[in-house]
Amino acid sequence: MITVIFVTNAHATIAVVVNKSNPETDISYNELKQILEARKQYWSNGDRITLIFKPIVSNETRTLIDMVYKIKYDEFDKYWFLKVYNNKIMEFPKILNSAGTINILVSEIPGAIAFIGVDEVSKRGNIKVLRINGKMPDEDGFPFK
Amino acid sequence: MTRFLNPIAIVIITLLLLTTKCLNAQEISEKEYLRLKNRLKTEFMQKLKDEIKKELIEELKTESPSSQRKSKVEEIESNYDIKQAQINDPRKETEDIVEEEAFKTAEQKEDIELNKARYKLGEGLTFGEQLLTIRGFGNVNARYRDNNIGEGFDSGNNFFSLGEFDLFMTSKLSNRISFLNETVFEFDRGDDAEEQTEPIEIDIERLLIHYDVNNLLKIEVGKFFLPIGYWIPTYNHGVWFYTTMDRPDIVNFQDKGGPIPTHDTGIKVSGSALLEGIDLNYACAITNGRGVNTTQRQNFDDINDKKAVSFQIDVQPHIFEGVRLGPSVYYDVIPEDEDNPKRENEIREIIYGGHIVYTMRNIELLTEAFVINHDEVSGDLFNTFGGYAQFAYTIDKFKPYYRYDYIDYSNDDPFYRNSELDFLDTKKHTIGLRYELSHFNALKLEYSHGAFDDEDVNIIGLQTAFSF
Repeated sequence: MITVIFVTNAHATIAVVVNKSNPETDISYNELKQILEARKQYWSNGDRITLIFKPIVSNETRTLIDMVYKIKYDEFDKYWFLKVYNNKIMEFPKILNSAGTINILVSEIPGAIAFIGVDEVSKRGNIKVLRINGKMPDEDGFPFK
Repeated sequence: MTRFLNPIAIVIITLLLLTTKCLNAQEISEKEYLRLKNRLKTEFMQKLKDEIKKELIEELKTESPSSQRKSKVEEIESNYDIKQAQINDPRKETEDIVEEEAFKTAEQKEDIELNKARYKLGEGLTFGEQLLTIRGFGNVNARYRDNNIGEGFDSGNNFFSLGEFDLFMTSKLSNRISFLNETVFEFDRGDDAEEQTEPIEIDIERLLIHYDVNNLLKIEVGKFFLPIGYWIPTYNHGVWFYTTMDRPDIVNFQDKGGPIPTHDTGIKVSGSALLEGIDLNYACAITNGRGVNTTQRQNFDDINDKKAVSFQIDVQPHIFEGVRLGPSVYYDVIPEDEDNPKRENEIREIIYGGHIVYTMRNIELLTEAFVINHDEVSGDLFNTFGGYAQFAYTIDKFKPYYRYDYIDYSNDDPFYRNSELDFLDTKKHTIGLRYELSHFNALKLEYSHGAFDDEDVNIIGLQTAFSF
């Protein structure tokens, strides 16, 4: 008997969520890239940006690594460690297992931005989903699909 | 509680009266009695809910701003309507209780996780909540060489050696203020053979407080990496970050024979302007500058009161993703050395640097070049040239690499030639292989062939470098 196992790393559709108090509703892909690479560390209202990711093994974070960081998954920690080491950022991004906790943290921290599955976005939290290049996650042309 | 008393009292009295009436009226059947009881119960719940709804809306009208008020009232009303429909269905009651209990438990769990997350975040920053993060680097080496030129003391040609033991600490003092320290323990051979204690040098390589104002302005005060070139402000002591076993010779540490200052004490401002098409990063530092020689540190005073100034521009063009390039310049006046008759005069030092770097996907290309200009007060001018080019390509866990190092010292440079350290003209080729044994441990095997002041040296090295 022959068992064939296909190993794929399907890209996840990611919802980019921020706190409701954040004045941004629509940002460009370039701006999002600057935020993800910690080149942009403040929102237009002056709030400090706090990046929140799911663990590296999650489809959402792997999609970001493939599409934005363009590094090996193993190097994600090293990437951030180097930024902390040369004092480009003050602390590591938050890596949290539970989408529930991520929802709550984004609700609590005014400058937070998180990247979770579309079906994981809480409907009762103090959060909202950002448009990227004018597109919502369920629309054609959304960059993380 | 008083707000619930009126309807409750009314209902209790009504129930008592009805009960009395029912007890007296023997003609009412069991079925009719149950129907009546259910109707009364429903009416009671209805009155109670109406009362609560009215009070909540009243509270909102007095507390909330007018814009939020309307939506809140609508929200309560719609929620209330749904709940009301559910209440009317007795089957829902048990399900609701179970659901509510499950929700409460989930909320409690989330609260616990939130508290943990807050703790990790360091947002509280009250007494007992501030965090100190400690990470670090270390490395152990084995080397064989066929010539020990430039070592400064007699040594064997094959040996194991402990590299730097580097502790890296950070702590947030507020959302925009942080502390950073890097302390390195270096193992030395020791000059005195009869010395009882193990010679270990402890160097505070960085000790600074960082003020993060916005993207355009970040301020560091203390001892920091100087903004010269790419390697110095990026990797410096973190050997685990290096693709290779060692630093390029041109950016070697001053006390190890490096020609360029790497750390200094003072104030540094830096920031990034995110423009259309490019990111423009800048850094500018005013520091105490060099001491009388490359090994003297000026961490708590400045011998000649003349401050060193360094300035760097680093450009990241969006069209060439992964490319960084830019110039840097360093200016200082090196004090005269009263103990050295050949160093009677101050030396004006200007270091011009430039870097082009490309790091994307599997490719790493680093190039830097420097011109070190020493101008003695007498009017003599001495130029030293140096640089390196490094290329590496990642294939899964393997990373083969090549680097060429080059330094050409000015023959009569009073600063380098009258130092206790050897500053040797260098032409060195290095090839090697880095293997990622784990996320935080890399093995490096490399071979170097170099000519130091025209004397050939071959070196084979093996290193395990780690981060913890």
